[in-house]
Amino acid sequence: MNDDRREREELSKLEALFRADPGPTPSELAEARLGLKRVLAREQSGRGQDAGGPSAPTSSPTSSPMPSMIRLASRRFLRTFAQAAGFALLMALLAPLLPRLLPPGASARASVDLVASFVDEARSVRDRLKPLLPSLPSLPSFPSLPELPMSPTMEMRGAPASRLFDWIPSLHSDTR
Amino acid sequence: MTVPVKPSDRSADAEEVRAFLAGDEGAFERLVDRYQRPVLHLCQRLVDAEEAKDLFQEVFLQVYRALPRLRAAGAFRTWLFRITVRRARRRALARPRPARVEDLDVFAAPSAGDPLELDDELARMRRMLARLPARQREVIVLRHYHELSFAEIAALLELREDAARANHYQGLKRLRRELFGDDERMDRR
Repeated sequence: MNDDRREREELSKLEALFRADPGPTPSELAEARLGLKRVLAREQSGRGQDAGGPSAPTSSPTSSPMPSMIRLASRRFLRTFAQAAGFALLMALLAPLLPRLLPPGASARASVDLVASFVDEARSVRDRLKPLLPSLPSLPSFPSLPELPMSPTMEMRGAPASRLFDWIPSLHSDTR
Repeated sequence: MTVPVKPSDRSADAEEVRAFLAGDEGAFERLVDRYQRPVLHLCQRLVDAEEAKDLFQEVFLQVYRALPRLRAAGAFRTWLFRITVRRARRRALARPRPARVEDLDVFAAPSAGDPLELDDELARMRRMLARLPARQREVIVLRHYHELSFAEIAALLELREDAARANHYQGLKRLRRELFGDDERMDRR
């Protein structure tokens, strides 16, 4: 009981001390404010020089939307460009291997289908780049994908296993 | 004690923030006018008297630079105090050596406005406050000098509310022991 009373008394004394603390004096405030004024003047003049004028307005995302739009467009361009570069690099690496991807004695149709699926990929990348680079050349046309075999024909079912490779390129074709 | 900001001032803060973002530099001056006293007081209780003025300038300079990125204009006061507390912590970490007890006198330096009879008690209380762990000191200063609710303190210090309450309890207990317990016992020896 005594402990409780003592605790309450101590807390009320502490509370009184907190209340009695007057905080900064007017002279301390004036001094701090003067220092801040100098720092802000330096900051504003620095901004003014950066902006090429004596009083650069404070920029905000809402008051100047152009830089953010440019930033967004350039980011989109870089992303698409990186995808295109990646694809071109992949093609450059795969092109020498292309003849080896086909088994010996593979039909001409299989080669055409494989190339067609690569060209189809290239076309989708080109479509994405076209709004950013209007001068991009168009790609040669190949047989449209619906013409490619999408299921094994009766002839293929009776064929040896190695002939099934003719069917594989159509599985890789992407109709994007 | 610093006069706490009324909740109704939140909308006034939001208006000033919007005016500043629209290019009215005077709005920033008005925000400084409104908060210079609580911020300087907070600085004086979180770092020593020498550093408090530098911290005050740092805080408002950061506010000036970062104001365009403030999402909730109505939460200006919480944001401002958060910047102050973070900057104070950074300064404390950057100190080359931990504060010694004798160095803490600079926290307790009486202001010209302190009534003479309170000088000793206030100085002692400030010294003890400066010896508290940083988190406990922050909670006590925000609670008792700025009259923030525990929910506001928790949001400001990025703590859970019960953790803010626990820090407050532990801090007060330690202050009481230092101010009214240990010293009395030492006097008796």
